[in-house]
Amino acid sequence: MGRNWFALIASIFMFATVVSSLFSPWWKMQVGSDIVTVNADPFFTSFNILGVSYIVPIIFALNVGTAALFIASGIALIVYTVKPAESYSKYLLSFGWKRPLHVIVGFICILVLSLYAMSIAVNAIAPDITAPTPIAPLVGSSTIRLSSSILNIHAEVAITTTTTFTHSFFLGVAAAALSIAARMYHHRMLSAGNAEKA
Amino acid sequence: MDRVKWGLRAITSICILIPLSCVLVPYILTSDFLGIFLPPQLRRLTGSVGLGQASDLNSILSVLGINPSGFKMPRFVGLTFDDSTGIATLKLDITNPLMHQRITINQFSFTVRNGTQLFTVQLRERVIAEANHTGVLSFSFSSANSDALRILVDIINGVERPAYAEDIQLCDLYIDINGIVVQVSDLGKLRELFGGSW
Repeated sequence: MGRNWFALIASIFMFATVVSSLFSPWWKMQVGSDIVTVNADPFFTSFNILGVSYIVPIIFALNVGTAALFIASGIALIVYTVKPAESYSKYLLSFGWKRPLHVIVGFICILVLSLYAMSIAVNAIAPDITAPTPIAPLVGSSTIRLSSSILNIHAEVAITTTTTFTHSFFLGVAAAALSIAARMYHHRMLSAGNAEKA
Repeated sequence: MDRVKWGLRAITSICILIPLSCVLVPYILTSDFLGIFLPPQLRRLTGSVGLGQASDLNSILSVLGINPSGFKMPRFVGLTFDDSTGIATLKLDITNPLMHQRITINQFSFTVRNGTQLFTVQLRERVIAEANHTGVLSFSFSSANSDALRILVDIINGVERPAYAEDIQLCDLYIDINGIVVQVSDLGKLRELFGGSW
């Protein structure tokens, strides 16, 4: 049985994704020019308001758990690559290949829900502020407007919100794609092995 | 095989439960459930019992990255006009109350209407007040009608007061500070803005 190199490359991409996340979040939202920054990431999420960084304990704990699971999955894929013929290898592959996909799908779902929730919360808490729904697109920009009644003079106040995915996210997507490729290649190797036996 | 399957399940549980318990248990033991969902800096503000505990304003502002003693209105230092360049320079003594965030004035423009003339004055280059900055900042303004700008500077400085000076109106104010855009269509008469000093 040959080696599944897709699995090895996928695991390398998984480690690279975790390391990259420490320096660049998967998704970034900027309100104004760094007045508020949201660094959303499955491994390290933080908020920055007026230059002060905030971390929510429950999100931090979930981030650490996800990172540990991601690394464990990467290690499982390496072991599977080294020992592909062992009877337990299919369990290692099964444990490893799904993780990037789960993390990406979960991250996108939570992000989209949060963008809608933020908009609802802003409009409910501050009726003078007109926030679009969702508060910002996944990629692009939107404008939050403050009605003139908030000030004594007739003024229009607008704050631009800019969002973007960074290279860390695309590393994660590449890891997921390679994991799927590893899973498919494993099937192909098994089929080829069975054909040889027959 | 079962051992491998159970081992992988155990790894999954450990990866999720250990970080969660490390973070959550201290809060649960002290019955501080709010602390799980609030960044520590903000939790400290709400006191040890819970929300509603009054903290003094200074400490709240400090935690939010705002210098409590930094709230000062910009003080007028001087306004000059350079005939050779056609640039008006306004000097203001400014204190940036933000401890970790610079204030950047990206754009500043307004239109002057004196009955017979209409001209726009705009900031030539962005002005930056670094975090915690206290001192004089220069704002350079220019206009397509530099002669009208010179007369405006003279009027504000009290060098000359033509009859139409009483009716000078300011409109179409556009300010971009740290990405927050403020637009005011009508600022009123110039003499009203200067009040007693006119």
